[in-house]
Amino acid sequence: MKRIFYIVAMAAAAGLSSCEDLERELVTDITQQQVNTSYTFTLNRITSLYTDIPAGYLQIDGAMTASATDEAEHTLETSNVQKFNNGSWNAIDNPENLWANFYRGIRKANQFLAESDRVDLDQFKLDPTPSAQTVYLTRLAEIKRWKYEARFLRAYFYFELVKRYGGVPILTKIYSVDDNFADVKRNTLAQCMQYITAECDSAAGNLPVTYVATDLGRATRGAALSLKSRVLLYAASDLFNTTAWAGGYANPELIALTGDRQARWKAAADAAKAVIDLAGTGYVLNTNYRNLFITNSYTLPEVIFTRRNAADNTFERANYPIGYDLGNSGTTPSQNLVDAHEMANGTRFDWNNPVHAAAPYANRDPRLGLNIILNNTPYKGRNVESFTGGRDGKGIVNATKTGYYLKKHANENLNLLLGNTSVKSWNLFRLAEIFLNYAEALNEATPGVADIKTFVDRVRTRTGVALPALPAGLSQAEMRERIRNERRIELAFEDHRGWDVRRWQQGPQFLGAPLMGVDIVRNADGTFKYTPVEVEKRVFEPKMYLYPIPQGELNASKGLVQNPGW
Amino acid sequence: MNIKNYHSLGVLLLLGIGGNPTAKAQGIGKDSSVQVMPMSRQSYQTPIGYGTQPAWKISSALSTVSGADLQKNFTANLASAFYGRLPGLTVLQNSGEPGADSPGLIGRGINTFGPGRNLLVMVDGYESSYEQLTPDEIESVSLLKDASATAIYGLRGANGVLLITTKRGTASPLIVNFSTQQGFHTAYRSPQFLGSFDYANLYNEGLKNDGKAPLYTPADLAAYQDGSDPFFHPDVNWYDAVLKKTAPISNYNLNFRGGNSSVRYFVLLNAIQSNGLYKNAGDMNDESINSRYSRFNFRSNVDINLTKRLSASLTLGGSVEDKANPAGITTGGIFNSLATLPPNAFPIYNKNGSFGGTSALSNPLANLLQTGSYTTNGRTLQSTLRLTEQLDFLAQGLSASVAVSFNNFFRSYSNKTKQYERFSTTKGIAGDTVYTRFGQNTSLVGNESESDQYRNVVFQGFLNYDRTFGKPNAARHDVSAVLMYNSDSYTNTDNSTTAIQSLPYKHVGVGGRVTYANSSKYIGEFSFGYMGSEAFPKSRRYGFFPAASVGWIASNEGFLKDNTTITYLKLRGSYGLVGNDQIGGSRFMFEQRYPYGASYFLGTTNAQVFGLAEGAAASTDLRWESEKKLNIGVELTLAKRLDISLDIFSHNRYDILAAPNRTVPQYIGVTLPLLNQGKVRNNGFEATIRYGSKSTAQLQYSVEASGWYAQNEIVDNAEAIRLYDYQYTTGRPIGQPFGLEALGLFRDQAEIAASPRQIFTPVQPGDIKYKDQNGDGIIDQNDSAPIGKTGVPTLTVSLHPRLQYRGFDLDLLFQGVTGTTAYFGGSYFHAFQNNGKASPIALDRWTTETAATATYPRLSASNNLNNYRFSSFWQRDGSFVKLRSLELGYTLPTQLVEKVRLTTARVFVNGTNLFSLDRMEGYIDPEVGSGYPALRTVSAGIRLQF
Repeated sequence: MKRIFYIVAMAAAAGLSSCEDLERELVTDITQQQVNTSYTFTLNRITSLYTDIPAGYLQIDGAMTASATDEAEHTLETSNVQKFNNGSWNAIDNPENLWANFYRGIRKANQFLAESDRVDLDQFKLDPTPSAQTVYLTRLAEIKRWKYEARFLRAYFYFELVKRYGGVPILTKIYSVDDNFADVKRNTLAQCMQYITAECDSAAGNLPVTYVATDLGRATRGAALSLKSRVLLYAASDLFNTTAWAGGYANPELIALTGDRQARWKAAADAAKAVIDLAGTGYVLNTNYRNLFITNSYTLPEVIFTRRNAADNTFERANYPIGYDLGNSGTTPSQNLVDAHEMANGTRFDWNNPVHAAAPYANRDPRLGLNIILNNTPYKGRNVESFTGGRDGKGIVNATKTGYYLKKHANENLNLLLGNTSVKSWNLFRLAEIFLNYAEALNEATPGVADIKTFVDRVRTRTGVALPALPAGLSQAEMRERIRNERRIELAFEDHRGWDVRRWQQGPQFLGAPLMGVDIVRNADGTFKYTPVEVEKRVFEPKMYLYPIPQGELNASKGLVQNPGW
Repeated sequence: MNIKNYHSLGVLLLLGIGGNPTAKAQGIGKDSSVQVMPMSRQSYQTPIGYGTQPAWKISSALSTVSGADLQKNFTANLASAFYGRLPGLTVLQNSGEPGADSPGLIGRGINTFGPGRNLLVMVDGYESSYEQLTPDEIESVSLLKDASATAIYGLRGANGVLLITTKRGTASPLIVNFSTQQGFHTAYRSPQFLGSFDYANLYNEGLKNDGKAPLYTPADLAAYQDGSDPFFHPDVNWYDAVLKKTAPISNYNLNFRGGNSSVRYFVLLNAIQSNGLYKNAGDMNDESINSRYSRFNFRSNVDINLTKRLSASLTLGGSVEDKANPAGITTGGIFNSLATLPPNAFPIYNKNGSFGGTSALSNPLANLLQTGSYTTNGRTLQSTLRLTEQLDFLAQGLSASVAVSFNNFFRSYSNKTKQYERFSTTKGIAGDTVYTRFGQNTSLVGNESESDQYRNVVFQGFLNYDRTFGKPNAARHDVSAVLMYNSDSYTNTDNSTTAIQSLPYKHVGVGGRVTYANSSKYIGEFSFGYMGSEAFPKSRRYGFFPAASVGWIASNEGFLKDNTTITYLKLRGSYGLVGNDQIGGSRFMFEQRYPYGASYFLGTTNAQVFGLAEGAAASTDLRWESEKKLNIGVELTLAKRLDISLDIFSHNRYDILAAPNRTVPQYIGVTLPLLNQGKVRNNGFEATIRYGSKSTAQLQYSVEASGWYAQNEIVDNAEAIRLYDYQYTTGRPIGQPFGLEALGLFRDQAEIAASPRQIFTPVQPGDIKYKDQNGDGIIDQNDSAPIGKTGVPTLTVSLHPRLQYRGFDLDLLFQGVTGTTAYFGGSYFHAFQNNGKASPIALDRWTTETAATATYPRLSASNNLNNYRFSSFWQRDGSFVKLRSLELGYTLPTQLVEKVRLTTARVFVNGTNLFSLDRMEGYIDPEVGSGYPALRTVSAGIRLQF
């Protein structure tokens, strides 16, 4: 009997311990259910979508996109941005590979749109008190508005993809990793343009023109219309209306539009005008050009939509001239860009003009000195010494190779040794661009109308720049050149140049031209001698008008087609 | 516990012996720690998974070392005694710091590129910390290697299992052992640095190379050379200033072993103290008791027959360890400052006796003496109660048992910190000394809130069957079987443990093994584990892991029975499946997560708004890693004196976690989940040859030579597409270093002009020239290719001669490795980098005069991005041979010791890590390149048995 007892006792002990189960005891994470039903989590989700907009300050391995164009040379040779300039980028190694980043934003937007209706507001809905009902209605309206913010941002992400890759897959499905990807195809360029503009229209119809102070920075109606303006301008431009560069590419519908191009120019002009004419926005050109790019610029009425950031100083660390505390030179503007600045009287600068050559920075477009740090001009309490042997010049490791340093975007007043930071926001749309969009499109749609010159002049003659107005009677071609140059100067270092040159089909002329700098010698009398020098040979091949679809995507998704030439 | 208490405990242990009535132990005429001949192969009850088997019956692959062998390495860390002793076990030495000297243990090479590479270590059958155990309480340590040996561990066996078995009582009169061992550590190959004169000269040269003006004037150099100005031109060897040449280590052990038919016991007390090499700071300042490790172990293993059929065994082992370190600065921090601080930066003490220092640089000696102390107190307790009932009334040979085990580790921290003032000095106008103070003296501030702990609780139930049918010499059938149930749950936390990490880790499962032997010739065994873990989704939580093995003892066949040449021959083979649930990734990743990510900033005040989004896609089908293991072994004895054994194995690990980079397009827009898709292949062998004297010879000796080899290869890791074939890690060993291939030093400008452009920084003659792997004319990161071998050696060899002649005994253990690469990195080798100093290796630098013979690049006083990047230039063959232990003993004649009622008395001298033969050019230890140095220990001791 006793034996049996032991056996039973042992079996019982074993049985008891087997009650130990393998379930986790606590759920320590936020669950999908909570995310879908909580108002706060839903707010956090829509906010998270904004963070997928790249801030252009250090976009390519610590460099600006400007250094992948004729605007600048990045000082560090080890930065991957150099691959754009020496032609060693390709489908496997693209230093500006934002493909996954934008598709992540698109997925998040798709999820948000699919799931944000499930927010549980019953706490307020079922409470009959007026205050609860107010909260209920406010929140209901907020959730509705957030969806249009999501649609605007999704359209923005798609356009960022289209300008890099041409037609891309428009994904409405939320894929999981074990789905079949073989059927996914790139949508045609026409479908993409159509989709993005329709989304802009829809967002513009439902987003507010302005926000209360705490929501400043969210997508507005003006932002949606501005995106549409840019999209239609690109759609009408040379790049997306020809396949000549693509050498018999088998899928022209992925890279070019067909049909009535004049109508596209007209639509582009109309879209820009719609922003300009939008009531209640208060958009106006800023009277202080430099302030548009430094501290707290997001409050300025010229700014339509901007990528907001925390207080920071990494940009200043990367871009202060080498001779300043903790400066690393970073983006150094090119002679090509400097030379594109007009004289203050509106004529062209010319090195063959001995007066110009002797004092190349005198009497120039004021934006030259506002965007670029020139030799022997004051910066942070002393004059910059970009000359050979100077504190910031040749002879110092990692000194500028072009003879210039970047002034735009950098907050001059930070003491990096003390760890000073400042808030900067990266302008995505501002009124000056819309004016130039309008003028450019109008000059193609209806050459000669007065608005063309009017709006270019508004930019040129704005307070703080005050160049003379364009001469009257310019031909369409002359006007086109002036608008393009105006755009080059006004929007320098704002991530426009590389795309503008591509859409104008001027790659070999600008992106393939040698990057120039200036050799600065200090004479015995303290004056300087400036000689343009070649800094770097640049490589541009026609295939570079579009980025290659990442090779990994082609391998994993067999239905995708590579872009021409890659 | 201070040093006085510690030694008085040793005296207490010694006194404790006097009170014990001793019975003459039978058959013991020598110290049990002296073993020349191996344990008998045939009958030795070898520990296997959840049981034991006589050695002849084993058809799986395992290797075993006895506790007595481990006593030959005098160390406070049990694992540090494993070097070269267990074929198949690769032991990687780390720091020598007492209490922080755990080596890395790898069983049969690395089989996964996932993070879970650790052996499962079981102490007396339960997972527990083990490095605190003392060799005197160890009966044996076994490494279970193949599938047949580890399948019963199911999900947890794939990396191999290390079984540590502690001593238990025997049904024999009481045996009392007392031993003490006293010795000292010295640093093995402490780094040497250049003095101020050489430093300043070379620094000036580096500046000149960089195109800058020299910093040190001829007058400075003269002052450094003649040492005439020790305060303004100091020349400090910081290693000597901070470290002692020697530090003591001592151990006392007392154990009792005995019993009768109803009660058997093993009781042990051990005390060890190992001091660090830091200057005896405690003597100079009571608040600074620096770098000391002391530990007390006790054990009480008792087996009781409660009734005729019911027995209980109680296993209790515990330890208390105290550790002290200087506060405020970690060991790494101290050695980093010793290795970088230039000899002329400031004097140790200023003229007025205050500590030297500058605003940026603190004084390493003052950091030791004046910043307080971090003391920790760690406690372990291993406790198991097992009840066994013989069930012969149901079936003969059947028994059942249940066990419950609690194994704990807890460490509390007592951090007492303060600050001190240091002064930088400048010469005043009148030649006086002007002092500038940095920091201030403060009183001690305490923090008692930190702790770490590990604890587990295990329940087990067993059904055992063991019976022999038939006659011993005719057809004999040995049948044994075990069926077991196991459930365990453990928690591992410290101050940085997150909520999700603090949840218990659990396993539930059953396991079993059936062994059949026919006539002691043919052996067949089947074993399995069926186990589940909380780490996997509910629908696929349990896995089944079967293994089978066969053995054939050919020497028991008629045709070999009387062969005098082949006296033993056994062939065996096994194949099976085992798992590894330490797969990496985050816990419970089979559930979708929504973590907070980047924030955004809104409103006129740029207010932060949190962002939340879908995390990495859930791994909904998450599984464990699985491995198919094949093992074939042969054991052969020739003429009863030459033993040869060979095991070859082939491991195929699959279902290793990897992100599906090649098969899932990025446009799906979610961070890819980790999926079970990686594969690794690992093959190797273990071979041992032992030759011994005749057991009757007066000179007893044996020489054992072993070698074990494992070479792995990543078969598939779903690697994303790369630009060049040589950039793939697939097809290469796990941990393959990638870097630039150095071609030598540039001779002149002409060679630079004719070579591909190196983009890291402008190069000049004397800089390292790299190979352009892709032929694009530019040397950049794309030219990074596989260079050298991994940090884990592929081949370990050991040589273990032992001899005994009359009372004398000698035991040596050499361990060597090859198939690994060491790296000359950090401030010791990279002169002046990161504001560091220079070591003698920099004397062989490139200059225009020495261009033909230079072995070191030209100097640069600033950080040189070309020369000091990871490249083959700084790699060296990591092979070495070390004398891991040497012990010479003398056992006093029995007639003599019997007069003082002893049964044996042995005195011995011991050396641990005495020397290394390697390719490190004398600079560093091949395994411990920086930080706390490797230690060499010399000691003497006495072992008494009553």
